[in-house]
Amino acid sequence: MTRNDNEFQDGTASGSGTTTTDKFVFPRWTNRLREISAVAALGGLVYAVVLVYGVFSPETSAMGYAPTQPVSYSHALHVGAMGIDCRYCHTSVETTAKANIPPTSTCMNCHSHVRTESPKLELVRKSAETGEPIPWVRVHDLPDFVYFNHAGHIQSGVGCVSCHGRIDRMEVVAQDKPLTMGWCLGCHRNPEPNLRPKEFVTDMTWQPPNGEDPADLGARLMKEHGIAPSTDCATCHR
Amino acid sequence: MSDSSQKRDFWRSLDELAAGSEFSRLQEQEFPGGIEAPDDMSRRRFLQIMGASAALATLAGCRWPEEKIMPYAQRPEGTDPGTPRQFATTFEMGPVALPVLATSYDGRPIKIDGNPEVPLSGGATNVFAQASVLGLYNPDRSQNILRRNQFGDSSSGAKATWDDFGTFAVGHFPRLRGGGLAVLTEMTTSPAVWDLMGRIGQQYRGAKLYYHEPVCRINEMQGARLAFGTPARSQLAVDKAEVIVDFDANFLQDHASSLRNSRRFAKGRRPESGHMNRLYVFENTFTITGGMADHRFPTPASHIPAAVWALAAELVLGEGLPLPMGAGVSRSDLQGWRGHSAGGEHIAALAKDLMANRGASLLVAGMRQSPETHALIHLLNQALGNVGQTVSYQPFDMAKLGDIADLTKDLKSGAVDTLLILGGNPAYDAPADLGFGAAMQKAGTRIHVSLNDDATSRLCQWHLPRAHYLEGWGDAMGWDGSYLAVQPLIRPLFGGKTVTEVLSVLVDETPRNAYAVARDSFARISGAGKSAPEGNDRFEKKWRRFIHDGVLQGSAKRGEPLALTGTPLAAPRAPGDLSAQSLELSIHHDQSVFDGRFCDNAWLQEMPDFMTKLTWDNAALLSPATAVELGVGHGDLVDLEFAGRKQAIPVYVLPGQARYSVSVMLGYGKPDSGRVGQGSGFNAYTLRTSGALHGGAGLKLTKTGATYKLATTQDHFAMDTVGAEEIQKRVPGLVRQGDLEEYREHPEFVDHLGIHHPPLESLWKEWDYNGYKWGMSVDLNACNGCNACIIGCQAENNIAVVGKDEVARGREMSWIRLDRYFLGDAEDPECAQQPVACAQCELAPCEEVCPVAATMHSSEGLNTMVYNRCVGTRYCSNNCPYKVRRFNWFNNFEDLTATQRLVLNPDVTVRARGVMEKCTYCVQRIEKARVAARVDGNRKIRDGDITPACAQTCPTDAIVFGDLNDPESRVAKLRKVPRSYDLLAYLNIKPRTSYMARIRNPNPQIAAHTGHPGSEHG
Repeated sequence: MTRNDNEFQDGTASGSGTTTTDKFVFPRWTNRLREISAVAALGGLVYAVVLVYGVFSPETSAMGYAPTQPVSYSHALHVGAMGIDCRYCHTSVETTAKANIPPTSTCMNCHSHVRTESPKLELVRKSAETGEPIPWVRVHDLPDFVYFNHAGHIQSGVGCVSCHGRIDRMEVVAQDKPLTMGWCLGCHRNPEPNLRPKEFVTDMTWQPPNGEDPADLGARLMKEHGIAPSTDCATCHR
Repeated sequence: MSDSSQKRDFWRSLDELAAGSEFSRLQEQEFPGGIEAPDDMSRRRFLQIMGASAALATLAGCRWPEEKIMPYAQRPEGTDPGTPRQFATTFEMGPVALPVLATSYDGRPIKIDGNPEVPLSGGATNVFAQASVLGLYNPDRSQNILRRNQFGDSSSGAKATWDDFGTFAVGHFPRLRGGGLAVLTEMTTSPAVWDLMGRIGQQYRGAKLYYHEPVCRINEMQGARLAFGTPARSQLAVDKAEVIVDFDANFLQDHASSLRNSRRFAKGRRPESGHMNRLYVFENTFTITGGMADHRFPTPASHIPAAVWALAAELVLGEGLPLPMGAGVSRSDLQGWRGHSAGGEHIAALAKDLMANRGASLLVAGMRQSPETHALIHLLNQALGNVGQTVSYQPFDMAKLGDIADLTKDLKSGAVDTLLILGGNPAYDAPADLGFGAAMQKAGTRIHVSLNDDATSRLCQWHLPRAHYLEGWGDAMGWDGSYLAVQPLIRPLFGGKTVTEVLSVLVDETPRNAYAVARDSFARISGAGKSAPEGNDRFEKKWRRFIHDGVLQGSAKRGEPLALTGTPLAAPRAPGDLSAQSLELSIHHDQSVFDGRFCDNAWLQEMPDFMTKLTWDNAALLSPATAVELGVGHGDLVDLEFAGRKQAIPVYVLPGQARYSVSVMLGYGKPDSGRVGQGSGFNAYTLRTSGALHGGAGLKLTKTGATYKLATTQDHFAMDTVGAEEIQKRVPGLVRQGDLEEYREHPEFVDHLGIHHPPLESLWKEWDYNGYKWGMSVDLNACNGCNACIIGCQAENNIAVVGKDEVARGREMSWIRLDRYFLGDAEDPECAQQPVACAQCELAPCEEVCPVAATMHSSEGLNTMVYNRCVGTRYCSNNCPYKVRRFNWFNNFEDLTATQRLVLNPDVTVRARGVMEKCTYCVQRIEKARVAARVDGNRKIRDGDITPACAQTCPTDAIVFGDLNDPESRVAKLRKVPRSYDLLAYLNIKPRTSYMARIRNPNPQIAAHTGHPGSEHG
């Protein structure tokens, strides 16, 4: 025994009253450590892949989510083919936080004269008659701790198409963009490509005139109208 | 405790003054009580539930639930779903009507604010009006018409319908036209109700009308009748008064026009404007008015009439003030009162001050004082030339009604066949000696219209659910005579009907609905012509204007001077000596639950009393010396014995309580309350008798030996943690105060009160705020501690209620903490109020320590809280020097019923368990104003566009919010006032909320005499 060992023994003996063995011996289960590590590493890899896929897959962010609606209303027909402006139905989009789904009476403005017998409009007619609302299924659904304001965006000249995609081509409305925080911030940090003069916000096909780069035009508009999108947390979370 | 070395010191509680164990315990722990689960849930059970919810969460799948959007089939004109709208209506509490704006979010009322267009409110509200919206969603409100066959049937009775009642009424009431009908009503100002009542008198021979209001203002009216020969409403022009003397009136809170008084008082107390009034208060227990006083004289309530007479004697005999024409007293009547001990040693100095300010002084007496005292006050105001200057009167006709004692007598004599009770709960709150509940049985048929199926309803055959004021049409009359509209924001949730609708069944051939009654009443009062035709454009226009404004324009009347009639005033009996063996019982209404009507209101129950900081309970308030003499301490359960009646109640030792005077608050210990109020407090009505409504001398107090846990917030979240002695040194720097004279001589005196420090340098690179720079200023000279901001904040920001146990653990959630400091002698202290919420420090210590960046700084200087990031380490709260962060220990909203959830503000996230929260400067309102400014032609946000909930409701405009980068904004200007200072500035945290020092204006004669503490500063 070396001198050091003695000191070690003395020290612990006075403290706990037990003796210690001379050497540390790996316990028996460590013989399988290599295999265990391998399984754990593999498991971790699988977990990481599933996690990354789960987080970043469009399905998780609900891109392409297109639930069946109680009335098979076609934006492709009404907006695309007939050219009705978004604001005919979504009346409060320019002035309030919510664009709002139109009341049944808006449908009946036309459909009390047009296609009055269509079986597709059965529910609409019933709603108009009884006053029962049509239970539309929400497509663009942000988490409850996120406060989005339509008016702020429209007034700044962000086109509907930037967030909603080509609604004018959708038979059934689907979520076109990820609507994740990273996606929102992408535009808040670099808004130029998504800005346009206010009068064209609802135009689905608008391009800058004379082939100007949208980013250049956007930069000009930002300066002109004092547009400075905020990346402060409280802009959306409160 | 009264030696001079302690006189200068501020302290928050007696425990702190004595460096007692409870204060030390609370100081040591940021969140007292650790992380125990509530008592009724064992740790094991808690883990079981946790496990179960985790399992359920896994099963629920990956995608969030499908949501439906239900648009209107026919959208009413002018509505935008998701955009809140405001409607003018009127909140009525007894004979006081308060014009308010109610915010409706998609059809559900969520917030009550003052109506800025009506001077009675000026945009301010009190705690009761604001909390009334919670009462709308009280799930324990009555939901059915109930029939009971047995007297005192405690079961829920048999359900019936309004049609059943209609059928019953058609058969029953016509035979009462020969006599036997009695109607008992709570006090109301509604002309529609009084019109219907008048018609009952005409149509039912011998029908008798009675009123009952436990917190009653009849003495004020009778006092005016005594002085002027007519009841009159006193209109106080407090802002014009240089010297104000308050006799037990608490005119900043209890007066019928208290909000207007508060605003005017603050206006007359801005040293920068050159107008600085002086306030003297005689009262037995601390009120907010007493807290604002320059000189407060703790006087037993039964000695106050003598004090008024002593002042009158001093003025007339000592100072030679001539008695006015028609005075009800003569010089010889006053002879014996000069120098009476009740007036105290400073009465001569007070009289001199009043004489020096004739025509600019104001005397007010409280509603508990006798009619003679009120009449003498009217006389003195006349003699001092104040009438027409600081006070004027509005005479009005008062219906002749019996009171509840008369009704009991009539019931006992068998004269009442059918008793109809409109509102109120007399079986609980009638004077105990009357035996009103038992006497009710003498009436063959008993009907009660009430919000709750309460003790009174259980003694009736019919219980009719009453519509909440936000559910029904009506009208009201303001204290200044303005005609006010009551309009519903929502259909009755539980099928209730208004009082007018029930009365209409009795007097109209075809019963009218509340809307028709209100329109008819409007037609009569406004002279707008008959209302009936819906299409009458002229009438319709006027009516719409009326309900839009909430008030009939031009209906407010000006007060007028009234002549004294010379009715002789009887002198009060000389007050007896009080002692430990014969104490004084003083009965008050409560500032949280009022007379008991808000017993089921969780916001009000958890709101700390502005002075005792007591939540969820009432107590017997004793002065420290009285408690020592009686050998009782804080939390001891004692028996109070008064006029042969006994009630157990815990003791609360309150500095500044008058010696030998024991104050108890009404409204607690309500046996018939719902689940919120169940088990809160002790019923003081058991001590109240018709001969002594407000108490009197002869109270015996005996110790029971038991103790009771009181939940107070007074020592919670103390801002400094380095021991009581050090706190004593630092508190004068927190809540800064000086005298007017001192302020005039050394305007910068506040800078010397803080801790002196070398120039401060930041460790971090500081941010430049080039856009908006939000800031707030709180004027401690204006803040009187009325608590309105606390409830306003609670309603706006979805702040949870946690219950008594959790409050006792120091886990209350209120974002605004109203710190109350005492200064000086424990028997006669001064008091200072300081609201403290997150100050949005520019160099915020909380942000440095958050490991997940859940609390971040915004580019405009807001210290934002990102709830969805917070993992609940609570480091931020540890590092917060102001102690203004609140932690959700539980899912506080989990147990709410679907009805209760309707009150939540959708513009603010509802926080879950494990999340920290704090004041945000109402960031939702900032963002709303930003978008509104962009919609409104892309302009800048103007000063005044954003008003946080606390500032919006403040009756004294003590809180001002705005952009510090705009030199023209109110808040930027206030920052430049010399008495503006930052709290804990020496920490170099650069708070955005600054305070303005409290300036007092003591009478030099009295201050010199007592060595007024403030005069030594500087």
